Amino acid sequence: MKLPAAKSERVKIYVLIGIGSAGVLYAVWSVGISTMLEKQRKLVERRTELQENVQKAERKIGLMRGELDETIRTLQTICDETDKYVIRSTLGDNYLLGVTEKIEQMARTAGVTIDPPTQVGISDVPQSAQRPSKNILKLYTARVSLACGLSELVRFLRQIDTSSPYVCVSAISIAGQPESPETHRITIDIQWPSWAEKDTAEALKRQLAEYRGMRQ
Amino acid sequence: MEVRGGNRRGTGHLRRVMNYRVDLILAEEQRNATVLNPRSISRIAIMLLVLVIGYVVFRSVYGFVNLQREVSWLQERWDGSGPMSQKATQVRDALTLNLGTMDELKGWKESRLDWHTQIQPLEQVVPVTIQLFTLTMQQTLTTETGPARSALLIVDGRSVGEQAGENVERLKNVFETAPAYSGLVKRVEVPMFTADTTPGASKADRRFRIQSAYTERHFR
Repeated sequence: MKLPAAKSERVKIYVLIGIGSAGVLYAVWSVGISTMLEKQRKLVERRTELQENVQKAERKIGLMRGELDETIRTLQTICDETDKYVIRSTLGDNYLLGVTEKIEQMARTAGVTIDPPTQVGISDVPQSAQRPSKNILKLYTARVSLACGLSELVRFLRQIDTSSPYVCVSAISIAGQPESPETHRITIDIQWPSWAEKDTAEALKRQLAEYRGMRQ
Repeated sequence: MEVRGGNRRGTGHLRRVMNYRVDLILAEEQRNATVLNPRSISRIAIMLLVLVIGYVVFRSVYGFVNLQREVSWLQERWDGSGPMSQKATQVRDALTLNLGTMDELKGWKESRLDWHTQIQPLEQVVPVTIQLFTLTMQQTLTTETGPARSALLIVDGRSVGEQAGENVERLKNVFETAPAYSGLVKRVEVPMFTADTTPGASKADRRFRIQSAYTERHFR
């Protein structure tokens, strides 16, 4: 195409071409470039988010093996300890049957005669204000009465104290008997740990099996 | 065609010389022969502008495509590690919980006291001039400085003879300083020391009470 001979006509055409180009550039900018930049901004945000997530996830996964082993070890210790030392109820809420057997065994070993133990009750361990967490154990207290001398009492208390690292003598009352100075009337309250929730032991075992399965 | 003429005067004598310049190109067809003229500069400028815009657009599109690829690669990694990461979180939570349970068990062990070690010394240390009527130990659960077991041992008895006061003081010292109690008992008091008014008691005989407060033993 030939441009017009007259300069003024050519200038008009140049101006028109300029305006047209600016319009096209604006259209390209607004439709293409700015949309792309907006998408790009979102993609950059998403990339940052994904990078952080992936880094965190990979760090966690990296630590998982060690944490899994530690979880299994911890759970195993908890299961072993609680199986041995946490008392269980028999036939509903009857803990007394189980502890009576234990107390009678300890009394026999100490060589003292006891009256049939009685139940004092179940109570909560107070919560820590600094580290409030749900306790899995409660205190079960039973009372045992007997009449014996101080040496026999010490033997019996030793039996109780060494029977479990969790058992605790929570009250002792010794009263002298004027008619028999060598024999005292004694009452002892003994506390054992019992489950706060009855199915905790099974839940812990299930958890242990699950984590062992995860390791394989 | 245009013919232009002119003359030139020499010096000394008059000499007439005729010069002609013949322009064979029409005026409107005449062009500037220099390389740098406004038109060529503007063409170069337009070409450079187009090149720069093209380069910027190319870089932007290339960067955008690369970014898209990178995001989709990261998304795949995240999709792959997400479930495993959830498991890792679950394991970590379980570990925290179980370590808490271990703490709880440890607290049970640490908060208890072997009471046979506290009663046994009484067999040896109580002098014959002192008769104990009652001994009570009561443990309570406190929360003042965190959950703890706190015990109070109370001994009621009678001290006979002229040395009644000294004997009670000696017994109080036993609770304060004997190895079995040291580090466990925080305070020993004698809240009661009175004349014994029971029938048959002498004027010097005394009734007393010794109270030993044990240091709180914390669950955690």
